[in-house]
Amino acid sequence: MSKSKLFMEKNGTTISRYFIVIMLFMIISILRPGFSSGSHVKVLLLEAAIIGIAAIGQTFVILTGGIDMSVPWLFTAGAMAAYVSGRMENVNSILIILGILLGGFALGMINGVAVAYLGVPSIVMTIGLNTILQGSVTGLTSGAVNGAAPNIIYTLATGSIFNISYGFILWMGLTAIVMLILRKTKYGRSLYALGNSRGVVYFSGIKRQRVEALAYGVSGLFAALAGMLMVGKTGSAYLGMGNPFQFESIAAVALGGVSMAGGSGSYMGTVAGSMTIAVLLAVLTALNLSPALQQIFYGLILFVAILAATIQNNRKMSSKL
Amino acid sequence: MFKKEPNRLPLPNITPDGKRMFISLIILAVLLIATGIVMPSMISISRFSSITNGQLTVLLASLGQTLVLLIGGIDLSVGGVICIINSLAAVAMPESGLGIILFCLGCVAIGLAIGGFNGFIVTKFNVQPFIVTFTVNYILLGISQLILGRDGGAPAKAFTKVLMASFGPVSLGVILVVFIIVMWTLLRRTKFIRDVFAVGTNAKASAMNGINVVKVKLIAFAISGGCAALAGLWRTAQLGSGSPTAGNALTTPTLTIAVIGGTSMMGGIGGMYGTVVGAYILRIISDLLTFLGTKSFWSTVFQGIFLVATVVVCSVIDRKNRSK
Amino acid sequence: MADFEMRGISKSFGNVHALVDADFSANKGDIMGLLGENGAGKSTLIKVLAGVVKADSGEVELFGKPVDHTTPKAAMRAGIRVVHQELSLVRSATVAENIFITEDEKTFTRKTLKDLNKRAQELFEKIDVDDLDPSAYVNTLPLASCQKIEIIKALAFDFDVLVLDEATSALTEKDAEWLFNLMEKLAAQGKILIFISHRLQEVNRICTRIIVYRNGTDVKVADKGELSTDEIVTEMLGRKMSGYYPEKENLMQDTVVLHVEDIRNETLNGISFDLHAGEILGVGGLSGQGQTALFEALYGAAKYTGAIEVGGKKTRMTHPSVALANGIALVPEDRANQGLVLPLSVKENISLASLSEFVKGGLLNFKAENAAVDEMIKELQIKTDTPEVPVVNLSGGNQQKVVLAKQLLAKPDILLMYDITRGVDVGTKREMFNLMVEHCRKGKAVLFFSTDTEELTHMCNSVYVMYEGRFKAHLKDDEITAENIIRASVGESAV
Repeated sequence: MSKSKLFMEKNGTTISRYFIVIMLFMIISILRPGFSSGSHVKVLLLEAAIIGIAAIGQTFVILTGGIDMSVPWLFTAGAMAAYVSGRMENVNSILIILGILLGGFALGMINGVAVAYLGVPSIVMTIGLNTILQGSVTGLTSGAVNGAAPNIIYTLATGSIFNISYGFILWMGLTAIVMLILRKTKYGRSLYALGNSRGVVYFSGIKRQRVEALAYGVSGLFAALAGMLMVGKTGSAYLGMGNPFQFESIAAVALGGVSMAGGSGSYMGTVAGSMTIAVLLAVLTALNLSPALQQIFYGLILFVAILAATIQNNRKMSSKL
Repeated sequence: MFKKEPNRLPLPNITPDGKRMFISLIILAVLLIATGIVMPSMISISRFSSITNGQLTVLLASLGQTLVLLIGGIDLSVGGVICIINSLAAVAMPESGLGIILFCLGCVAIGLAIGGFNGFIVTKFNVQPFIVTFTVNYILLGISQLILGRDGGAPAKAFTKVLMASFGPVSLGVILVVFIIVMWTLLRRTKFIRDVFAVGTNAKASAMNGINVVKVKLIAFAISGGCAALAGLWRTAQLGSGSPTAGNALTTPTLTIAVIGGTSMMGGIGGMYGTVVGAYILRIISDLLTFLGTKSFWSTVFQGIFLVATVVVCSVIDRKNRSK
Repeated sequence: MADFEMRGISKSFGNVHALVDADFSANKGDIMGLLGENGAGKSTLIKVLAGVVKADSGEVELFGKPVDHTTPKAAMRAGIRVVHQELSLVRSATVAENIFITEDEKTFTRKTLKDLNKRAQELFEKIDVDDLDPSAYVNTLPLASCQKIEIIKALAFDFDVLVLDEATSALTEKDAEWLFNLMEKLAAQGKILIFISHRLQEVNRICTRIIVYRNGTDVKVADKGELSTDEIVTEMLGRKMSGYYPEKENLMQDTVVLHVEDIRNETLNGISFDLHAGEILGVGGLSGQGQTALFEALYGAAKYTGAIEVGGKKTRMTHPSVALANGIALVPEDRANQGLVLPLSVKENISLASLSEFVKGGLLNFKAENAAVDEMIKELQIKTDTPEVPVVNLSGGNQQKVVLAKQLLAKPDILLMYDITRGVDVGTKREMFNLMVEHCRKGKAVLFFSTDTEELTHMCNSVYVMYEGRFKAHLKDDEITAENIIRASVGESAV
């Protein structure tokens, strides 16, 4: 097998995702001239950034062969916490943000410990935590909050340099770090091995439970971060603001060509997936469709994408076996 | 080398799923005693009838969920199916007797078709059941909002009247629950159900034994869709109106109920007796919480904790059994 | 024309030609031995016959009539029963339920367990089985019993052709004996039997005729006794094989590298021994006597009480990582579930157990990793185009070498080798034996479990034979004979 063929086999799926999002964007720009204006692109990229950041942890979790259904309320919890904490004027806002990130990580680790150490199926565990958070956040905030997030969060979401929002730059920075972790660390290697075979990882002397649990912690952390960015973008926090992200975080990963069975795919794919979703959402809104129809189209597109990716993945594997 | 299996519980020749059933029955008994102490007025046949009527929607959907869990799958689209059927029945049900019957049959057929579609995609393309049913659910919710824009509408009067009928203090719902138990007793030793357990335990092994794994899985998913459709119809009769979104909240309880009832998320262990018991457990708990004056969001929190607690306990037990 | 014929069977998986115009024939009363190296096409041929795999071309005829083998069920209806290499029991069901699982009945009548138990008991009496309880749950039984149930399952209904694919590999010696008697009885009744085994002795003993496969097709058919063992091996390999085992030499030194004292757990009843530098210490015995538990305990993969001293230092093996850190590596039993991450590359697999070695400032040093991996590939002669190829693309023997390379890269002083030759071709076996010797020459040590007594007699400085969770015998020097090992295996004392 030649080197270039191997490269394509490994990265072909991811590359094709970028091709799709660029094609999609170009076609729409031709049909709707305003679409590709600098200010609109800036908004699109910020939206993609929020989806993409929420999907970082989801990518990790799905690579282990699990799923995180608790992203929406981890997201909302992060957003609410940031919104409420703005009142604490004498506390350094960086500390606040770090505290919230740590909180998200800790909540995610509850999932992680249950899934990795106690063998609880991830889907039920995370649905359970999501329900618990839904009730708790609703109860603790009594439904409505007023306040303001630390200024730095607003700056991050709305500020820009050379017409590129800080939020997007943050996302790109995180992408570089995530790719480094996945490709060039022991943790990343272990994550891929784990998604394919738990037994082998264990017999290779790797602490598989630690690796698996950490993925859920990462998911909690980034869901909270995405929630904070969302507060910065919209200027407020409300209950249920994270709900769309249950679907979107999973969709971004799936559209990015990460195998739902775990063990294969890359965060670069998820980045493309997030951009695709941002563009799609904008298109569906621009077409003035009713929310019901938007949901149907959106669902159908994802359905077809997942199906196509799975068929492709299966074919790859079966030709080898 | 020949050793008899040691009985771990002091019960005669009990199957692994029987053991779990036993645990859920104990939980139910404890809850009933607690209810008897704090609100003795709740223990009556008419109260039981109304509880049953209220819980039958989610119970029906849970039966299908249980079957899918038994084959090692999961159905996250039961909520969506309930919404579609609920909306449809509140908008389009004819008034004539024959019309109602045909309409209901049509609804069940829709449910079977949606479930069958899930099963087809899962088996044909080898996609994880959770992602297929999760996505299909999303689409279904969109469709039900097309059918019914907002909560409202009403089914045929005769439809509500017949389903909400009661014979003295005994409601039709109670009779249906008895019917479910009898049916499961008859059906659980059939070839199909034995195949379901075999497939759930080890699909590959089952295929080598000549079991048509694809067919078994497909039928299980289809039945789950059918059950969810029945649940949608029951909900319409029970509430007398439709909602394009409310049914979606029922997916999580179906999982909770199946798991409390002793059905394993890993497949191959469980059954409908447990699911029936689970449905009552969930209801009694929420009644107790309401009685204690708990606000609704804390009740939500408790539901989540309860789901997590049961699934953790079951997983730990499973793990112990497997390591032996 | 023979009673049973498979003609012109071809099957490709992608670019790999598993079967190329392969033939097979047998008559009533034949016990056919099907021989060949790994990847010779035996398993694929059987899977085609069983309806598990669809052939690209070819036909199957039984008594002159074409056989429908499009699905497992159709093949069963046509009178073909296969005992597959992999176990396929429903673990949460009883023995009796498993035996009759293929039944076609669909009625509403309640087939109670009692009824099934009675029928199972009748079947047991017919085929001389007296050590199985029909009502026992399969998940409470040892592996050897599971394999036996697998065989009995095939006998539950009428058949014409019975295929046993490596069916003896997990059987106890006693059960193997039972199986051979049963096979002879079935053959006398006019059944057609096909027997696949890596153990030539078994094939020589039981089969009336043999057929040798090589590179996906049949190359030789012979009657019993027509070919010597050497000739059979030559046919399998397609080249002359000189000296199957490396010459025995004594590399053992006096230093104790591993001292084990009174290890106990659910399976082990007090195991003590010393492993010396340069020693290949054999562990024998029938499978399921606690060897898995012993190896896993030493590797930190099973709980135990007792003491383990590595190089004089007392160490608690709580996790495989602890064992690896102390220089103990295990080549595990189950390649697919414990040894290799099949979709990942050769490189990623080889370095998996020693990733920490290559971490520099938190990041992996690819250069160092590649160099180390390349060296292992060269040293073990792993056949792969580049280290980036997914390991699933490699042949069975090469995959086993990758497992070995992975564990060797962790630079162990003590290698635990658990039945490493199971399902591996003769050529690879030989390379592995040489490697064991080389390992010992460096002053390191090997603990070697094998179900093949011949391997133990040729390779080991001394042999412990396990029986019911303890060492039944310790054989040294001249005492290491196949006969002594087998005697101790069945609980008798060595001569």
